Amino acid sequence: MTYKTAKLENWQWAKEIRLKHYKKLMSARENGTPIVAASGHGPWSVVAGIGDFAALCGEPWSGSTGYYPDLSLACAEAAEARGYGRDVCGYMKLYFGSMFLNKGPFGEFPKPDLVFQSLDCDLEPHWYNIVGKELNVPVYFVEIGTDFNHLKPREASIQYLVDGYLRGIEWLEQKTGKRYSDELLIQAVTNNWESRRLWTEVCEMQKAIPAPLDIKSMFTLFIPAEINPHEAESVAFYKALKDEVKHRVDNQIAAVPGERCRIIHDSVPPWYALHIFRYMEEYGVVAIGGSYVFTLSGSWVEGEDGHLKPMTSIPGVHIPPRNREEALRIQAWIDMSVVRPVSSMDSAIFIWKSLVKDWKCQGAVFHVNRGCILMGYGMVEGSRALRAEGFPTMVYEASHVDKRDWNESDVRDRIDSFMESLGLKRVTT
Amino acid sequence: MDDWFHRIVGSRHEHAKNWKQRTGRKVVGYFCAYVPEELICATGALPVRVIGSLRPTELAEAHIPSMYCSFCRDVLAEGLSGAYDYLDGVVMAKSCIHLEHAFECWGLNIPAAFKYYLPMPWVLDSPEARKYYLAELGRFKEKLEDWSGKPITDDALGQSIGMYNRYRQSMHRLYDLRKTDLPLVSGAEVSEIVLASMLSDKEEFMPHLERAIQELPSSPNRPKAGARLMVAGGENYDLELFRVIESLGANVVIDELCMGSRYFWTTIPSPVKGEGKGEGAAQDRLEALADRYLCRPPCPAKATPSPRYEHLLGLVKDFKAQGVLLIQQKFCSPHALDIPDLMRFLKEHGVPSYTFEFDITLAKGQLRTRTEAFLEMLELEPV
Ligand code: SF4
Ligand code: SF4
Repeated sequence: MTYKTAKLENWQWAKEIRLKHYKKLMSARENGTPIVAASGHGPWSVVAGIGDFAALCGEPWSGSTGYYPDLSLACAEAAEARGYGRDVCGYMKLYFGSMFLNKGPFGEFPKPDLVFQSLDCDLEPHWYNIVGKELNVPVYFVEIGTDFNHLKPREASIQYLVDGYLRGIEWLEQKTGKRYSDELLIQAVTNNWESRRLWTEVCEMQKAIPAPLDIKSMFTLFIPAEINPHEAESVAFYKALKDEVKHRVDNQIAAVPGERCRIIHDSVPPWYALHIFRYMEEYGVVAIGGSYVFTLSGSWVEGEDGHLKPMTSIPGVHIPPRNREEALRIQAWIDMSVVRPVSSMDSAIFIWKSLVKDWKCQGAVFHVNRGCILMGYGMVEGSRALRAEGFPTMVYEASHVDKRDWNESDVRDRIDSFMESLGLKRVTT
Repeated sequence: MDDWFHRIVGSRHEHAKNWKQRTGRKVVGYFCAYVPEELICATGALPVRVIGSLRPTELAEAHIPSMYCSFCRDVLAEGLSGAYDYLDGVVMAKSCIHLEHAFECWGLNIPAAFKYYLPMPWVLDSPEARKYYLAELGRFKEKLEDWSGKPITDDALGQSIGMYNRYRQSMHRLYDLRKTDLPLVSGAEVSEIVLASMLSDKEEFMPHLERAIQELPSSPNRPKAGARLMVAGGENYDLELFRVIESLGANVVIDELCMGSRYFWTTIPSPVKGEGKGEGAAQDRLEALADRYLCRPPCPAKATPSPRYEHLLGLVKDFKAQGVLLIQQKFCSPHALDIPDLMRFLKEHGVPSYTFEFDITLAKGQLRTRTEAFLEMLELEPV
């Protein structure tokens, strides 16, 4: 059977948001806008209380660097020449190289005025301490990753984050000399909550057969909720996207017209080799998502019935928030959910199993990403757990940004055998 | 030297099993030196550091992705082999993601009656981190009480803190034996003693340690004059590393290692609210513990690295080390990220250093070549 398909109307909008984001960042110095550095999902809503700022989002910056083979090789080599070996985080290496060479995908490296980082990966303290030292800028850390189960965070861990943010607000005021606005914070957190809620609903709709989106489009569509989740435009974008995806579901408009098999893919893909998804489509396989795209920009909980559910409320908190404390509490819950349950293998495996079963998939592909330890957490165990329940899985090793780790023929061979285990033959050649 | 230490290190599993049988008490494996052993000890159980066996780790390959460090692999392979089946519980304090991964795989694949993950802040110096950690220590204490079936009394915790304090003070005295111009004890011997202390009952260990401190200075095998080196880095339980270096005529006079000085360095100041019988309230004792673990020399898995560099430099000066060997387990990201900056820092302070990356099996030839080259270079340096 072949489904009908159609171009995504809102695709261009997602790209424009990203473009605007980088334009603002690259002209910030000239315009006197403070630049704040953190990782992709940095606590931008909390920073928003100081007024206008430009966000230098670590991983997306490196992801963009990775699009340019010559630049990314030069950056990796510059970092390696300073002693940061091939086995440290791939994104960090490209970022360091870009910083050392003062060169990036859009021009010079945008030197931040300060770092305001919520920590979830244990490489991040190094990353931003090194940035702080190299560029002589102040650094502030709050910690997310202390809890063991991010799907069911404990009150103590939430309060620890809230306390860190409360002190962080004083720090921001002190370092920027600006008065902190709770009104702006509340607005930003409300937008953040909305963007993520809407994206989570979009991901929920991927349960439909045929899938309205494929993972390749999702890699672009989830970006506003990562780099600009606190802005009103992101909320408007996700509202429009949700309507469009609903329309596709109602009318059986497929991302892959020849869909006859569904899989999940985790985690960060090799950005330079997204054609592997096209290759799988030749077998009629659609990758409907994975915990990377679902949870980095979405918020999920384990429901009473033991299924993965969108997070629709927060215990004891009014949404939208009415004051600083409530806003920070929502932010803390978002932080816990952003980080995927990577600090808990049980939760990671629970998510993979839920995605495969509830999203009606037949198998899973795992990219053991040598360039990012965090996203590979529990992956081998996850693959074992799925296989134990009769779902075929495929594991391949590469790096999301370092092409030197890519072996095209090996990955293709693995895909072919995986397809065979799913009982599939190529339908196009 | 008293070969008690050698026997403990060589047959740690037998030793722990015998201890368990002899005392009728429980044995708890801990995965990270940030686990506050004092609390485990106060339940009457024996805390032992979980390490690997330096043998090929195929058993772990089916569980851990390739980019996780070799130490984690070795630890998990040892658990999967059944060698640790006598453990009554396992405890992890949040440190690096690699070790957390091994701990979680352990939890999934190896039965353990008690499995506990203690959230330990990465940010060590913030007021909220202290408040959070203190509360987590209280929670850990409760969980231990539930598991052991009896309360940890103030006296028991006070005595445990006191014993660890005495142990740490004596270890400082042992380390001081290498401050003299001609070290009175070798680095290999000291490292074996530290390792034995992580694998045995501190009460039983102490008389042997005291005897070693008395006897070692007059041993006929005292180190000969040679370059004074520091070894710094993460987990290492392959004593061959020290033996190879010292066989080349150098003396390891100090270390800054996870299974070395970092393990025991910070003593809870005495007189301490938490130490001894009947002194202070339970909360005081937990506060004393919180301060000790937040203030001990940090490992690079923590978010506050600068005290590490200063501390390390202080040790270099106190022990008159002429150079530093920075060791790193393969794929260890916390150390891989600290090393370039640390080397620059040492260079700025006139301290030469070199690096050595090692796997489960030690590449002795490579270590020898690199060390020889470094020692030659040191000879050319004005002292
Ligand atoms: S290892 Fe992954 S999560 Fe951690 S800093 Fe690097 S890219 Fe980010
Ligand atoms: S600190 Fe390094 S050697 Fe130690 S467990 Fe972590 S990654 Fe492995």
